[in-house]
Amino acid sequence: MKRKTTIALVAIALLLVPVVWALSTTTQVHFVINSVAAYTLTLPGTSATNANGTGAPTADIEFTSATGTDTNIEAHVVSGNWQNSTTPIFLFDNTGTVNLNISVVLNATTRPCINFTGDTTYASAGNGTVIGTGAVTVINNFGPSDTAQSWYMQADFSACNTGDNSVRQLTSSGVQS
Amino acid sequence: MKLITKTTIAIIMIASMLIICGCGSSKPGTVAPIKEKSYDPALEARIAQAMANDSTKSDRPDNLPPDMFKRLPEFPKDFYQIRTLVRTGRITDFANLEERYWMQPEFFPNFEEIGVPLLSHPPENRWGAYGIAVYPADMVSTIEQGKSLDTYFFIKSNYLVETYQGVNLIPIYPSHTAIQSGFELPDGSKEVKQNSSIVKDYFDVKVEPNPFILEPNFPIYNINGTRKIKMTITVKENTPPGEYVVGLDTGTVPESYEQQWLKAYLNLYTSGGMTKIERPYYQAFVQVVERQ
Repeated sequence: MKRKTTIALVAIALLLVPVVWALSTTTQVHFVINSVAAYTLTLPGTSATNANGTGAPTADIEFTSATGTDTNIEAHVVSGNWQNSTTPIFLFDNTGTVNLNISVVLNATTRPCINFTGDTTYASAGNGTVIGTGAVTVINNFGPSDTAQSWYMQADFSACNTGDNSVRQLTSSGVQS
Repeated sequence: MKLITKTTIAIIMIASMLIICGCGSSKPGTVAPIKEKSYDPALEARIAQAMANDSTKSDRPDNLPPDMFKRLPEFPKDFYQIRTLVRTGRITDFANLEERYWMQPEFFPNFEEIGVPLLSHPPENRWGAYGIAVYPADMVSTIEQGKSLDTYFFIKSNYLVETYQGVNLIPIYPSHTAIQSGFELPDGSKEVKQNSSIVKDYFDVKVEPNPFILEPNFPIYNINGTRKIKMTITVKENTPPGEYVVGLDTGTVPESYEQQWLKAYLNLYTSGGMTKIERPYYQAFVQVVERQ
């Protein structure tokens, strides 16, 4: 009887070991917060999937100067639609749960003959903030229930030539406010 | 006496087995464990009420065309109950949470409030080019010096986005981060200030899968439009005890992947790095404690 009891007690002790370990561990997730960090950026046009005889829209945008010296050239989607007075090139929707500060920035400087500006209104886009490698604010404290935020961009070309063709990555970024 | 002793031992052994196996209570259709910890009674009553309401809903509401969801796993009958358990913190083990739950768009907060209006009346003259969403975006944990922690979150192609987005997640260590209002860190503080250039050497971070493609979730939800991401944080032995923030942001997609995906998806491919949130998409608040 004594032997059986001893075996049973040892078995119980062994079974309880993992429980004791679980209680003493300090590597753990305390809690998660029901927060969502998110926004959608839309471009002018009907759909990216409408590849047809007139082209296949991409998610890239470009500015095209025919003469090398032009002002207030509108942004447009490569093989897609153009910005105009009522259609901003960017429209931001905050679809998350946290307020955001949204900005745009280039990954490299533009050619010296190009002046690239933007603003939240079409009328001010040509004389708006110069967009370069420093972040330019689109909107601060942008809440999930706020209406979508417009962003217009234009470019001035001054005595550019074909060698001034350039590609830059325009990053739109949001900061939690 | 002998019989009583044997019976007592048997009862104790069975109870021990139940504790270890977590078989002490029945639970809905997920294998993810549900916390049995007791919270504020008023809160528990509210949760019970919400669960009761959820149990009356077993199908997706008819507010969007069913074909939008035809590529997803079948909508679970207990979806809303599981969602409530996740949102109230009773299920935090996302490693074991099945994809039939987290792949449903209703799993993300604000789907009914923000997602449905956008999806049911998409703009006629615009299309979604970029956008990702991360849920949960914040997590609080404690890790011993020299130990690791696996943590999970979900990332999806956001509402209206029609492109195939290449995403490469990279660790960042923001210099100043405040925890969301209403929450606090294990030491009672509400913000973390850290020297990013020093703190980056305190942790090893591994992300799986990475890099990856997010397929579009519009006009039809796709299997790979939402992904479960595993982030393993390892605290180095020499890390001073304290509070830190380890974040994940989108970075440049490696060129080999960029070319591969560009060839596969052509004009519908874009790099997730084009649209990013400067606040980390995912923030892990980590309390580092001395090794036991």
